[in-house]
Amino acid sequence: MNSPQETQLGRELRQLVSGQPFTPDIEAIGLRARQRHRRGLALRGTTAAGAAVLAAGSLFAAVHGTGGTAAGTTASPAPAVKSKLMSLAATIKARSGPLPGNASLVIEKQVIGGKLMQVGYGLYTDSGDLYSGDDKLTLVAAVAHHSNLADFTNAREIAAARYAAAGDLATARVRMVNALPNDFFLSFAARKKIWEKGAAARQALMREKGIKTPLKMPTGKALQDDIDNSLWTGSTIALSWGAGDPEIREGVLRLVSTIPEVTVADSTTGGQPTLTITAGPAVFGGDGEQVLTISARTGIPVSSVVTGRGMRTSVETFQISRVTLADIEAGKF
Amino acid sequence: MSDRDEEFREFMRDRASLLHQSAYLLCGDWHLAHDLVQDTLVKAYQHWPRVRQADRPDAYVRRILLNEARGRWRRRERAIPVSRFPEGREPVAPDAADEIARRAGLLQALLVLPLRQRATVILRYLEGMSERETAAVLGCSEGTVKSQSARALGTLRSSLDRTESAL
Repeated sequence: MNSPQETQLGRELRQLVSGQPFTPDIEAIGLRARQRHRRGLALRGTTAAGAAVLAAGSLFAAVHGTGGTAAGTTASPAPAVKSKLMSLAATIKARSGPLPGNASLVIEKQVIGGKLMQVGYGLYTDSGDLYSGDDKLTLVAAVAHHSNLADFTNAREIAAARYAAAGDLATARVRMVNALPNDFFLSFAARKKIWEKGAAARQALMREKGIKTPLKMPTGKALQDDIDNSLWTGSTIALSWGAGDPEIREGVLRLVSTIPEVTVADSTTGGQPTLTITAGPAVFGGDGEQVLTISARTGIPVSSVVTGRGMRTSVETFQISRVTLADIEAGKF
Repeated sequence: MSDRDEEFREFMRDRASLLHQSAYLLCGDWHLAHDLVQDTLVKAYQHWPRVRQADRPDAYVRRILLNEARGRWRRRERAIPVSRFPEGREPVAPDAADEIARRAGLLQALLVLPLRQRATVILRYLEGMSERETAAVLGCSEGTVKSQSARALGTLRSSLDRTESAL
């Protein structure tokens, strides 16, 4: 039996969520599930890139299942390489030796508006499994229950980062962008056809989200910004899981160095030399900024600060180490 | 409509709304909650044979929802929005404004909880699950559910006390 306080809490929660009807569209869900199964699609929800990117990328994938995996035909400009990141990538390669353990453990703390919101324990194994927990116990439980969160996009992102460490950078960019299906590299005519086919569904979602300005199919700079958003997001996701692996860090730095809207500056964090990498508003659909701070010696991420209109500043700090799966399973960490 | 669609529709008919409400309390934003539930249902549909045969299909679907919520956080999507007022509710009179502000305070307090504690509160007190059912969803012991509930209630107490004193 619940205490009076628990009963009161239940009543308050029910009042908080009252008056919001929801009817799932089973046909659309079934369609998406079948497309996802057939084409190996992954869906991305509302991202910090904003409504334009939502319409251009995620909604396309969600509604049409178009996977733009063709070779680049319209938008793969010559990389604008940033020397600080390339220089650090070369240093990481020169210093890398045999990798201890068989997994990377990432402990993240997220502070929003000055309050600790989340502590996350993430484990990325060298075989490609992802496990997540709120603390040590839940991480151990996730591993014990084989609650693998990895989907095919994770494997693609990690593979693209590894390829970028030694392969052709333009090809690596396309691979990272295409880790999540999109239409970015299709011909204008093919993209236009897809855009028109998705008009009704796009308008319905815009109405639902209260977006009144009609969206245009991204071309030129807008398309490049969408590609940069995808490249930045995929690269930082790869880094968030694989930061314990020097090859992934090296590849991510090389990839990020090619994004025109990213700037790099020397900084100091806790007395240690760091690099501050800033992805400006263009990367996020005109609203928002992410500042990633990494060690200037190893490339290991130190913190990430995300800001945007109407949202409180989110600050994440990272603690990264190499571990063995056996030690995690035994709770020895 | 296929048998699978029919079965899935039947299963979700009485559950979708509560799932949507739970998603809102997990993330604090109705639009994001909608996205979370849609993606959860796509996964549930994909794995429908497994969901249907699970000992606790409801628990299975809620685990998908929690994983989706956690996955979004990991993917660096927008920080959890903490509104001053719950969406769509404007203060129209002083009393109503006070009540809305109190509830907004409770929502903020809830959103500050670690995800696991928040999920425990939602499953136990919004969805009315028992400790055993909650433990099955979260993949932990009933003892952990008790301790998570106690910690969460301790954190939420001040918000609840303010609400109670105003009633």
